[in-house]
This record gives sequence, structure tokens and C-alpha cells, in this order.
Amino acid sequence: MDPLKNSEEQLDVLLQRWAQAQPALPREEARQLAAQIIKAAAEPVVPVVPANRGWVRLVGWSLTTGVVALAALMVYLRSSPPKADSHATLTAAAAFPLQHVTALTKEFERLFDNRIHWLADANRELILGIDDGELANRHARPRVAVHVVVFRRAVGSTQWSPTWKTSVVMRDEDSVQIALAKDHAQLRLWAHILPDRRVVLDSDYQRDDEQTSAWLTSAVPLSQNPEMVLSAVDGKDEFQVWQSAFVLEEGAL
Amino acid sequence: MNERSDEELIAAYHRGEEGVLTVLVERHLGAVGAYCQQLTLNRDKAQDITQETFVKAIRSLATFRGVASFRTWLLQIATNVVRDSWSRGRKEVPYTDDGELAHRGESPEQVAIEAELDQAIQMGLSELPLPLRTAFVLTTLQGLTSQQVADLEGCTISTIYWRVHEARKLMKRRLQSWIR
Repeated sequence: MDPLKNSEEQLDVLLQRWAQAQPALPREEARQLAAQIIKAAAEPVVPVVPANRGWVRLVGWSLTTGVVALAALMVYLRSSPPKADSHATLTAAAAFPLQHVTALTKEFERLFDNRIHWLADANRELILGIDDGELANRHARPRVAVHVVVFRRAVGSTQWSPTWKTSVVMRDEDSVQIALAKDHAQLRLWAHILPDRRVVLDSDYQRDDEQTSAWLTSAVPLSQNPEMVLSAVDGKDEFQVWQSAFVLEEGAL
Repeated sequence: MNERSDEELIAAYHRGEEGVLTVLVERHLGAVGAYCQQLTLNRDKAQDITQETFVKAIRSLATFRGVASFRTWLLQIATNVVRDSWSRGRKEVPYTDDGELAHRGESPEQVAIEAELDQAIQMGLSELPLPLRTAFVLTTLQGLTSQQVADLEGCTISTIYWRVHEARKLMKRRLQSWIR
């Protein structure tokens, strides 16, 4: 290894050498591939019709499907079960626990002599990161409190249940890694306040068994108002992730 | 014809000149293919994604405004294709050891060391979540600036700084035996 200045440069050199050592596509294969690409690009784009719905012809499909959809909607509305959880209900269930978060931060700052780097209440599991004293300049940056709620319901069900609630207090532009003992998981978070008073949150959740891994980048206003940042279906379950964020003013602590 | 810039070739294509698409595709096929390989770590998948990238690019060439370079634009399309492929049900791109590194007349010991390093690098990259891997590969291996990657990913430059920082940290941990 060359006597390089630091490990960052060594890493770059290792990676660049590795990339250069990857075999290139032989010239003739590259030509063939280019020809295939140009041919494929010239072919007309045909809308995909699922095989089991072959009866829906492209000609007049909008009228046919429009009538069918309207009829189905009317039947559904007449026979639909009691209302599903409304947006307002979920908003309330995901409400930012300002008093709880402020009280926790205040109490732990008192106990640890204002050296709290970050603090997390993950499903009632309290986890702390303590400043080592050399990072005092961190206090120059605002402290952001982020609240994340994951709702789950079975596909077809009308009722959502909160399955995971976490509040994290951290400094703007800090990254924190939280070991969630109860969940056997790691949560890595990074928050960045935008000039328009929204906060970008990169979150990476990984189970220790490496079977579950989820990455989410979101942006929510710094207003305590929860917003849905992800809606997904995984097998038989539907999930919604709601987030809210707030700047904890030093004077309030 | 090969001496003309990408922008000149694209203008010629819009004027109806024949053969310029071939030049454009052949010019960038290697770089885009390498990028897809670095992201997917799977040769077959990389080739599929490379093809899909160029097909999409050619079909939407009329929308290319030249704000970014043609190569950056292609990398953006490739990134989106990888992301779509990822979200269509594959949570993790499987790491496959193709075992076809180009060894240039090295000794058996050197070949073994290189193979071990190759495996460690591929394992390290495969362990990075896609946003970290994309930011890291684009800046370190494709030579894009953090601002270019931020524009390409539609996020702030701070987000890219952080992603590259985290990716470096994880890669250094994986490659600590090779880094002093």
C-alpha cells in the first residue's frame, strides 16, 4: 500500500483500483448490445394489460373501465362497513408528545449535567447518548425532537394499530445510532433542518438478524403536526409511517 | 463523427441524422454498465438495468435539456431504474461473486490477495443501504461532486455529505485489514 495521508484516501484508492479491475465488456459484445438497445428503443411501447384481464380491450377501455369502476364504487359505498380510521384519528394517534419529550430531556439534562447528546424513547425503552466533553460545539446547533409512529393493519381491515412509537431528541446535522434492545434492532438517524423550516430525516432501521432492513428519507415541517411519510403493503399487512418534528428551544428546558 | 460532443450528437439526432445514436450509446455503455455493476453487484442484473437505462434515455431524449451533462443524466436514469427494481420486491440486491477480476500477470499470492479484497469490497458495498451506496459510488467511483449527486437524488447537499460519510465509515470497518 502506498504511504497515503489517511485512511479516507486509502479507501478511495482501494475502491478505484477495484473498479478499474472489473472486466469491461468486450468490444464486439458492446457493439451488439448497443444495436439491441437501439432496436428495443425503436419498438413501439405497448401498454401492459394483465393476462387475466385480456377481455379489457385497449379500444374504448376508458369508457368500459369507467362504468365498471363507477358501478363497483356505488356497490362498495352502499355495502361498506363502518368508516375506517380517518386521517384525523391517525393524526391524533401520531400526535407529537411535546410535554413528555420536554420533561424527559429536561430531567436527563439535569441528571447528566447538560451532557445529553441524544435521547430516545423507543417503545418506552429509554436510551441515552452522552457527550464526551470534546463535542461542546455541538450545543451551538438547534436541538430537534422527532416523533415516529408506525401503524399496521391487516390488508382489508379498517382499523389501524400503532405498533411502534419512538421519540428522538438530537442535534441538527448529528447522526445517532440507537441500539433497540427490545426489538433486537439498530436505528440510525440523521436530521437536517432546511431553510424553509422543514426537517429532513434519513432513517435506517435494521434488525440484528438482518432479515429486516428499511431505509426512509422524509421531510416534515417543524410544526409538531404529524404527516404520513410512507404507506406500504408487506404481504398480508399494510403499514403507514407518520412523523412529526419540532425544535426544542433551549429556554424551554 | 466520434469527435463530436454529446450535445452535438444529440442535436444531430434531433435533425434526423442516422447513426448518431450508435455513437452515443457505444460512448457511454462502458461507464453506465460499470456504474450499474457497482450498484447491483450482479453482472446479469447490471446488464438488464444498463439496457433499460439506455432504452428509457433514447425514448426521452427530447426531454434532455443539457442542464446536467449527458453522462450525469444517464446515471440519474440508471439510479432510478435500480431504485424501481429494488422497490419492486427485492429488498436487497444479492451479492454474487462473479470471480472474474482482471488479473494482469500477477503471482498466485497476489491473485489470492486481490480476490480476497474484491470479495471484501463487494460484501461491504452490498451491506450499504441503497441511498448510501448510490451516494458513495457516484462520488468516489464516478467522480460526481456532492452537489451533482444532490441534484440527481433531489435532496440537499448536506444529506449527501452525511450519506457519503456514513458509507465511508461502514466501508472502512469492512476493509480495516487493508487500511492502515
